[in-house]
Amino acid sequence: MKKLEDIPKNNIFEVPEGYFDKLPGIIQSRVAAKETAPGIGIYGLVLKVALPMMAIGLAVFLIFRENDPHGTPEDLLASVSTEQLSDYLIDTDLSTDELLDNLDLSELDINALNEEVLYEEFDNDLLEEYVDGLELEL
Amino acid sequence: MVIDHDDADDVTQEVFIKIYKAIDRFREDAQLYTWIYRIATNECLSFLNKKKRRFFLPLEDVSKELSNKLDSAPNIGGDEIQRRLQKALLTLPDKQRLVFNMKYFDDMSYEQISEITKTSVGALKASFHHATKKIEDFLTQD
Repeated sequence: MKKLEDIPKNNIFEVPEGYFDKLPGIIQSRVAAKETAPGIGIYGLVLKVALPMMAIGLAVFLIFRENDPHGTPEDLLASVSTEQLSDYLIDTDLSTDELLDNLDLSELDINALNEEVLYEEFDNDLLEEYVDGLELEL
Repeated sequence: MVIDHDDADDVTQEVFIKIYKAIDRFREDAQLYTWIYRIATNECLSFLNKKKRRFFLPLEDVSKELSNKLDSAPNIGGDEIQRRLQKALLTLPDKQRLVFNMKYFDDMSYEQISEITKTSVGALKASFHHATKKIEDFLTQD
């Protein structure tokens, strides 16, 4: 057998007896069941829609917060070591005076700095070297 | 299309429920027959796709399962060669099988099929030609 036309064109799928008599009733009862099914109400709506949305929002916020590569400038500065900061400042062309001008020091900070400088123990050799370097006007 | 009577019953019920719900949206620029047929074909293809997804079955396995049902399911008559034709049809992609069924068994015109499936007449003719060729190749095998 090779050709389609050699095969009798019959529908081989049989329908159980009385199927189409019962079908309208089945469909009507299914439609009625769907129509009378209780609605989900406002609390149901909150549970079904609002809560998942809030959960997703919270998750997105946490993920972005965890992965935020920038953070605040204070956080960034705090993460840089003092050594790296001093290396950077030494390499820049900023003079000590310029640096001090840009600092917003309180009175307490100034007093603390003065105290630190006053009690700094200078190396004698360094002091001598410094004094020798001075061109004193006599 | 779905071979098994219980599956056909599920699809039929869903089709009529969808018609009941959407009848207000029926536009009279199309024939009611075409509109209902379109809902039925969409529902049928969607049922077969869901079946594949639900069991993570490859296309060949779904065809094999449906082919086995042709031998074992009740409410399937016909002689050996008619069942063999149905098995040949199961080797076709679902959409091609749908087009073949509409043209061959339901004697629909290409224009009607085109309106239902929203496919061009040329593409339908090509699809039917390829389907016929594949079926005849299948029938010549042992």
